[in-house]
Amino acid sequence: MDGEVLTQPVFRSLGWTWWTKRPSYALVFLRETSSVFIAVQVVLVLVLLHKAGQPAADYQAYLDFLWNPGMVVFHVVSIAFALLHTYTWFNLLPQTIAIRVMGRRIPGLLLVAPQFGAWAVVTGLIIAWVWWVGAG
Amino acid sequence: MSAVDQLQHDVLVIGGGGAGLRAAIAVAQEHPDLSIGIVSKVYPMRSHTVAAEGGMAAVIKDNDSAEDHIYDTISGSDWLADQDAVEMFVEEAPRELIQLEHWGCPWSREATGHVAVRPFGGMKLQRTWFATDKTGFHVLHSLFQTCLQFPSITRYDEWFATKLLVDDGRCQGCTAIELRTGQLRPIYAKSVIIATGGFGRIFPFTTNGAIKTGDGLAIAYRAGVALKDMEFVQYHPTGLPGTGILITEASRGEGGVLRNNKGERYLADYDLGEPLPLDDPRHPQLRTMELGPRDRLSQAFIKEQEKGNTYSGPYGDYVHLDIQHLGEHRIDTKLPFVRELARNYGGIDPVTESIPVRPVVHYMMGGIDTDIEAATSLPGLYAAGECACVSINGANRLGSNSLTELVVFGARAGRNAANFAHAADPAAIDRLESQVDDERARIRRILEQPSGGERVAELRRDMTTTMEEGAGIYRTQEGIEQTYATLSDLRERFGSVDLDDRTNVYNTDLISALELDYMLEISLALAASARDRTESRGSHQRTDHPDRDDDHFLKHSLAMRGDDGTPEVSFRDVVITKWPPGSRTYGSSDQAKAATTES
Amino acid sequence: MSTAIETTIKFEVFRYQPDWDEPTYQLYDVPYREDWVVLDALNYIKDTVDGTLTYRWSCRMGVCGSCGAMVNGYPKLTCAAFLSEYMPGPIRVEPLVNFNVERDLVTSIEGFMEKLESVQPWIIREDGATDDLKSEYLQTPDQHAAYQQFSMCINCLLCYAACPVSSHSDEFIGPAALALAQRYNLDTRDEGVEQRRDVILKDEGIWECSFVGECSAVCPKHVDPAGAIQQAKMTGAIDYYRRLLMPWTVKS
Repeated sequence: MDGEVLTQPVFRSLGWTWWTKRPSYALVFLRETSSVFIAVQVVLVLVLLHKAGQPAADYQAYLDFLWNPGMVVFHVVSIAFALLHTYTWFNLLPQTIAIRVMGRRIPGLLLVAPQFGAWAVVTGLIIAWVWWVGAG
Repeated sequence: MSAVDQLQHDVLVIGGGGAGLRAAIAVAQEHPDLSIGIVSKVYPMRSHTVAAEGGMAAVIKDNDSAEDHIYDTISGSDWLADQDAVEMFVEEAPRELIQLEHWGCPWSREATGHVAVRPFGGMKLQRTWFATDKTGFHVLHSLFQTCLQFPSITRYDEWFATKLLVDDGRCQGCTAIELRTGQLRPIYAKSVIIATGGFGRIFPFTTNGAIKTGDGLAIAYRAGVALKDMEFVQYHPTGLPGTGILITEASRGEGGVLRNNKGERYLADYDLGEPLPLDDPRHPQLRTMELGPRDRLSQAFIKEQEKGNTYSGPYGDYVHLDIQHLGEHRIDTKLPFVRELARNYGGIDPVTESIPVRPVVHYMMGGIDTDIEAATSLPGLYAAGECACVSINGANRLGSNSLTELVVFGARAGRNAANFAHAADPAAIDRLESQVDDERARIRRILEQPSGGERVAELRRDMTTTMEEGAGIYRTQEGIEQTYATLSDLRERFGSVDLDDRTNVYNTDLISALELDYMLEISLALAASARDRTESRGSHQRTDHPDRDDDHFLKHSLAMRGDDGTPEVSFRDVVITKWPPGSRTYGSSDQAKAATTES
Repeated sequence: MSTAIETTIKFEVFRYQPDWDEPTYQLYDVPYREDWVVLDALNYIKDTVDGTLTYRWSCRMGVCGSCGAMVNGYPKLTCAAFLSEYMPGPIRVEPLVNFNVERDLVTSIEGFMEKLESVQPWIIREDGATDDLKSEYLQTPDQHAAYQQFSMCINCLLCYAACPVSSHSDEFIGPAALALAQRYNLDTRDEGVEQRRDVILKDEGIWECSFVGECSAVCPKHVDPAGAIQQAKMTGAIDYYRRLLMPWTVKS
């Protein structure tokens, strides 16, 4: 009731392994980790551009490097991450943008669908272009 | 402890709910030179104001008038309200509600941008402002967040006030236990405002949260202040069976109806008017049927129960509240919390099913005796909100008047306590220290006494059981006397209370014991007042005295704590200004009467 | 009345007192009732078995915000966590993580109170002092709807217990307080956006959020603090570029 009183709180946190504790956390962790793979891919492309200006043998050696089995696995993982990142990020847009029309917030689908639509169109155009270049 | 370490303020507010926060802001805003302390046993945003749902009455619309609000309140009170207080209350209400609006309360709006109003029980016109059906929540958070901006306010969150410090005939602070450390400390002040809310927890089945144990009433009562009109206990007609969770009156204001087990709108049998078809554009009719006053609706339930017209379930009998005809969109925009509560706690979706409801203890009309200025008989001590009894509520409070009461009288208490503090000398700390020591000894006795064998929870259960048995919706002399005797016995047994927890830090076992002590104290005052009022008026219904008796009981009861600790009840005349006692009529007869008085 | 053998459910409750070296878990058997919530079980334990068990609660209807705890690892209001969802058990109840634990299930929320105050969660008006209270500020239902969701926060702090950023940064203002800042910024009656700007945009403000989104997932009142923070980021970014590219449009 009087005098010194011991109060000694303990701190409990999610800790550094937080991302292992829930599937939803793991998914966020993967989404964020994907940026590492995408960054490496960008570097690989920049090097490719650089190599294109070098002697043909250098260029061919680099292409061979990109096609070695280990790198192919890396490319596959990268594209999986890119898809995951795109997919999850597109789905987050409705939380980020609150547009109200006629007193109601416009449904998330109206924000998400155009992104996937645009994504599909751009992907289609790139595939068509690659196919056209390859055929020509 | 040196004088520097003493906790000292100009104005001390006990209670951090709607009334306490409004009082503190009034002091801070109008007297920036004064230092303010707020002692609250929970963080202020946990206070039970948060659970109020339906709305807050004030005259704002052109078709409304102060006169009408006053008349509705007085007739709702069964003429036990002090009319000068009601007049002042109604006059000040709009300004206080606009003040809340300016502090950010998110009132529901009309298309024009003006605040919207909804119908409520016992009100002749639509005058209830609302923030969906979470009005109390929004009011409390608006007040709390607003109060954060004032540097002159010091909060003592999770401090439990145990006793008022009184010397030289005036109140000079309180003692309080800091829950985090278990220390009991005095907090001195030049004036004190009690705003600790009601005490529904003396009953077993209540809408009230766990914290509503009437501590403020008990400490004022022990300091020699009378408790007024304690016998008037409001049962809200629509609580969820089992939990007692409130289904707001706004559900009926929006058009919801009550049905018995035959599917009948049984209120038609209780002099509350004729039911209109649900598709009639005039439904719901004001002051009629489901929009009658709460006491009458709760009493009608008991009569239906006696006729065997109620459903029975694991938590007792119930009737149906039907809002299905409002449709999903209206329910989601006007009554979202009702849907949330019915789904989560009643297991039914009111869009497609009727909600099981029964009367449940909701509000205490009685409380610390204050005058129109929120002052008590003890100089320097003020009270506001549910813990106080001015009285504007008389024998039955109208729905949506209580939140308004918090701000109107909270602000008044703040202003008057500030003026008092300006003129008063500092607390006489030297002379008060022995009281602090005595209080410390009292609590240490409870904390440390050797095994006495009585458990807090068991005593509490016995108390709530006897309160329901003897002081429920219908009362008899015999029943009340039995309850009084049981309570006296429980007080004896409390002397042997045996705590499991004898530590300091967050000793909630000790706090529960102290709360129980306070609840037993005020329950006795309630029982004594109910015993001595041998008439039926508003929420106080005596089957052995079924009529209102204006000749003898147009009076407030006042329970004072006698020297032996038992309550002594006396009576004081009600203030009548312009509205002589009349018959309290609702429904069609009321419409006829209204038409004749207006012509 | 019933003579059938009563179904019980096991509780593992986190226990800690300041004079203990470390926390422990205590086991209790609680009778199973279909309509009981975890809070009912805690009250059963406190009232009949062990009065030393310490936790906060009041309204038991999901609006006072007192009774948050980790229930089987997830932040929950114990008054809204039905035993039936956890059958056959056991149910582990622990204090909300990312807070200091004072005793048993009681955490210290002082840090939150300071963060809340720091975002100035009140209406700021240039005419504040001269307010005559003659009439209400007009606000259309649409304007009201724009901030209404963010005004529903009951300060239960489940969002902080779900937030990995809060678990690693004491300073992060965090979901509830930032959502309330956004609530006032979006309120047409408020003129305090500039005053709140620095605290919201500082490092410990919105930019520390990595949009895990779990705060919104656990919010019992569907406040969507993650949405509030991302919307504030969007506004903040647009504001930054406006200041950079069109400084003449910015009031000094």
